[in-house]
Amino acid sequence: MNVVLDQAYPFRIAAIEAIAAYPNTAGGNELRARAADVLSAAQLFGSAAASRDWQAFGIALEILGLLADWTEAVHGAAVDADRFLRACRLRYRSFAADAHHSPYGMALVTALAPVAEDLDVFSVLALRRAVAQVEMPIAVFGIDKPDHFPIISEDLPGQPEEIAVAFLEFTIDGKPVDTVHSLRTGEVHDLDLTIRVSRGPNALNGLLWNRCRSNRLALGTSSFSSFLSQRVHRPICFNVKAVWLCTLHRASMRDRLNFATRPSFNRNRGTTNQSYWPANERSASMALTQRCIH
Amino acid sequence: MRDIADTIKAGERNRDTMVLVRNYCANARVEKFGGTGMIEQATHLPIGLHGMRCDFAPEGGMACWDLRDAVIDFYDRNCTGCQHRRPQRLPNLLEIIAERDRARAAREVRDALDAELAAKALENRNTVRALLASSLGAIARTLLDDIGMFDADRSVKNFERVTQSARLAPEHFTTELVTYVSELAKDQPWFAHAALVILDAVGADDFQIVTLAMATLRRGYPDRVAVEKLLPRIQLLSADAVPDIVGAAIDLAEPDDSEFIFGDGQERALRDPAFLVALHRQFHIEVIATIERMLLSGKRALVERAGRGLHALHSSDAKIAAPILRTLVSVYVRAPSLVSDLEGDDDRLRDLACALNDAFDAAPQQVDELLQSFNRGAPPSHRARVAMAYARAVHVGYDEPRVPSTSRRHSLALTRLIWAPTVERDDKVLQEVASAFQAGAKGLELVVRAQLDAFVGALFLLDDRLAELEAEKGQPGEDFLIGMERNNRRFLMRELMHKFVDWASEAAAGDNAAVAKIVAMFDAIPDGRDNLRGALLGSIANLSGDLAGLKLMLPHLYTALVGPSVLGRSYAATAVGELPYRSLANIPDLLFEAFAALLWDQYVAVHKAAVSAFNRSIIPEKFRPNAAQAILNLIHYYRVQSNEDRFLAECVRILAGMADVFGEGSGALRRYLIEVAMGIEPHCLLSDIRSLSLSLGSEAEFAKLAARMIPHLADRHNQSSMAMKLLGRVSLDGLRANAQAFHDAAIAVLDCELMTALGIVEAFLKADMPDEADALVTTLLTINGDTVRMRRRGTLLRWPQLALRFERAVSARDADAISEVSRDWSKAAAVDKQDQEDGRERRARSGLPF
Repeated sequence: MNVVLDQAYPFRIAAIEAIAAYPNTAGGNELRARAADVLSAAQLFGSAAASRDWQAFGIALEILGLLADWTEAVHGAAVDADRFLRACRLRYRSFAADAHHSPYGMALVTALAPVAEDLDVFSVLALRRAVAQVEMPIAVFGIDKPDHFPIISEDLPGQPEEIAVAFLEFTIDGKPVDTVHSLRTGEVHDLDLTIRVSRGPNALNGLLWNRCRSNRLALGTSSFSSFLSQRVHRPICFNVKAVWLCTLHRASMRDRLNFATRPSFNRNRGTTNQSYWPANERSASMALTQRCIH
Repeated sequence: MRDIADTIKAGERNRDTMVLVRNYCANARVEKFGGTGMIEQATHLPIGLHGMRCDFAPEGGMACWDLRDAVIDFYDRNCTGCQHRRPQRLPNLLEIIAERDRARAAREVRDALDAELAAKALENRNTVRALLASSLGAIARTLLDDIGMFDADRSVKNFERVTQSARLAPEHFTTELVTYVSELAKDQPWFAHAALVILDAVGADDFQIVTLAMATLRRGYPDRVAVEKLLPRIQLLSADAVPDIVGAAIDLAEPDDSEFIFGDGQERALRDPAFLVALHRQFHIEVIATIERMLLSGKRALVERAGRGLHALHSSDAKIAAPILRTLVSVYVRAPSLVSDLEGDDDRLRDLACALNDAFDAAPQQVDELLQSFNRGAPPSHRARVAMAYARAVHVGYDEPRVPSTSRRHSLALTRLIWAPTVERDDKVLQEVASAFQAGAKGLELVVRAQLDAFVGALFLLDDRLAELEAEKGQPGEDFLIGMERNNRRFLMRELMHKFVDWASEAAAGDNAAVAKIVAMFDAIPDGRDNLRGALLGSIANLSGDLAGLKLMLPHLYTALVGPSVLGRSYAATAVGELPYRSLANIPDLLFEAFAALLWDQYVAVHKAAVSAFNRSIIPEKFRPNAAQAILNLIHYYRVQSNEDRFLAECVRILAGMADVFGEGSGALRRYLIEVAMGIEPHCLLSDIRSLSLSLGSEAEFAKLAARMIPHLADRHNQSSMAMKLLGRVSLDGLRANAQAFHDAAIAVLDCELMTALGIVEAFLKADMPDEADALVTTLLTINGDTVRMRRRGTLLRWPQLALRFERAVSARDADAISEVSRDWSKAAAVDKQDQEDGRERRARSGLPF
């Protein structure tokens, strides 16, 4: 049980000012905005009885908003201006048909009763005043809806085990990348990549590698953009060896060449297929980029 | 005694701090939070939680056992730069602050020095690595860089990188690199884990790994990585090293989880006995000798660790404790003399008790003989522990299977426990024996059934003992405490008799021969032994579950209900309350008629027992009007008696719940009961008021009872919602008729429970009583005052008043008034927001002072 009057009541003040203090300036949009505020304030009261009063007031403001649109459309000679009035009547009828009105709600239904009859645009102002004049019961407390079965951490599905990328090797044209290579632009070279993945979820049976960034390498084969590796054995889950042809587009002295891959995998969980992106996706990419080609 | 001395010291310290607070500023004061303890009452020292308060500081802050902590926090939040301070004299609060600041500065210097030393050491290690790097290839250099990164940032991610690389690419770890890893781990404990994984992965020398793992374990922590590496190389261990690592092996096998709280999200430490078992297999003598040394160490933690070790090894070797059985039993029984830091005589040494229980299972006769030998001539504190050991031995967990009657441990221990209270005279020992019978006999039925004769025989002896105790008379001028102890002793003996009956009847239920044996006791009990007969009537709850048992018990129950003995009738009344519902169809009306008559019984013990039993009895509807009339009669009588408010409250609650049996007169009865309740001391109604609000809340008169109770339900510390719930039960007519009473209640609770005061304001508003609400808020605001401390409370009270003004303006179509209230609301909201910001800023300045 919390004091919510201080949070909710400013919306009532603003709404009453809109329909009573400045009746000629508040249009349909303004009133709908006020209605939305009031309905959100009704949520603050939770399961307290006052919540119904606030909801009723919010709906009354929505009805007044449609009336404001109708007035404006009639005065502006808009096409089919009465559509707002028809919508307004429908809204009113469903509001009046609610069997669970509080006394305040009933008073609003009575105040808006002319909506269901022959209505003149000049009587809209009187309707606004009639709604504004209905005194609303003041409630101070909101009652939180009880959480009977709070979810405890043990009930939550466990996070999938993260993938650890621990080691990778590159060779270019058969020579390990432990020295400085001289690559000419426009020439085709062999790029060998060995990735050893040490750990992953038990249910993981394949690993799809997507190339994320390779800003200076042009590919001789289409398979470079992505490839699938199969689980081999434990303790090393994956031992991937891939060979591509590559061409250097641009080069500069001691240029640093980066590329990154992103592992993705699917895992069956019960009857639903869910995709899990490893939380250490970034660190996996970092591990790959760390060993760069000079 | 040590606790009492410490508590008094804390009180003296707080007293001195209070003087410093007073001297610092005339506006500051110290307030107590919570109740008053016995030591505080006796010494008049400020013991307990205290906090500092001031009218120029907003509400909130800490109340601490050591007032200095609360004072430092308050000073940081509110006193720095305060313009309202009124200094008094020296010394004052600034002494504490200066002391704190000095300590903080010294700590900062120490931290800076440590950081500097650490940076230098890192630099040195980096230099070593740089030198080494020049001789390595590119990949080995990268691996060395990874170690460097781990050195600079000892994160899990870096640890993983270093260790996983070794697992995946051991061939790149050159000899120089392996040597470096090994050397680094020698004097850098943070690197030991990583080094163990690397050395293992790259196939380094086993002695190197064993040495490193031993060094890690010698630090005393249950290091899983070290054990994992040591386990396959256990044959390389020397016997001399075993004593150093047994402790860590035990902690790994059976972690000490006495502090573990199930359900708070924390995971219980994993049990892994493999290393301890392997160690024991390889070095049997050394391990047992080490455990025995732990037992004889005189330190609680080591003794408990020894217990955990024995328990962990029990599953691989049931007779593990055999070589040190005497030591084990001796240390457990004589712990009050042998263990210096025992947590009082009640300390159960849970782990050691578990080991002793295992030993009891493995060698029941031997352990029983040892326990008996230590029991003879021992002081009460040791005898109590013998009783504890037996109590532990008969304990059966809720999910454990039924114990067969052949179990020697259970049979021996139960026999000792049954006969102990017939000869034992020490209160503490008797309490331990009684604790063994606190839970039911579930799981032990077969063992108890085999010992029914012992239970029956012991019951007679206990009754003799009870008669002796009841014959003891207090001397004129006797110390109050001595009288209280005698009463406790009597109560304990009576309780034991009831428990014996419960256990025996629970075990006998369903077995006709066993039931007949218990029922036959009724005929064997000589006249005049009403306590024993009454206790035996308590078996009805268990024995009347089936028709055969009920048939045997009913004649004795009826005889007691209509018998001449007052005590017998009161026991019989209580027994009727225990009759299970499933037996209702088989119980003749005659029995209920006899029971209903007890509600009219002239003897206090009888009709009080009958009322208490009636509340939970299965008495059929047709007997209820007569019973209700009898209870009404009791209310008439007890209403004018003093010191009977608790019983009167019970009668009112029971009758209010069955007011409908009075038909058209039920409304008048409810109003009468409200009138009676108004005369009962409020604290006697606290537990019944919720029930009364459900049964009597529909009457408008209930409002005055609610208004009377609300100040007693308000609770500053626990934020009970009971007062608000009670308010919700009050009818609108009742609220209107008793507006002044609720007005007064709101004033009474304002200080301790503002929410309830606001709840009464809201109740007035809901009941269309705007003037009363307005008047109440105005009064509450006046009482609340306009100090900085109370400003947020005042703002909370002011919202309904502003809303009330607004609704009045709306109703009156007064546009000016609407605008004026709107402006006032905005101003108040701005001030409140400012206050909240201020509060946040002050809290940001606060920090834990210790």
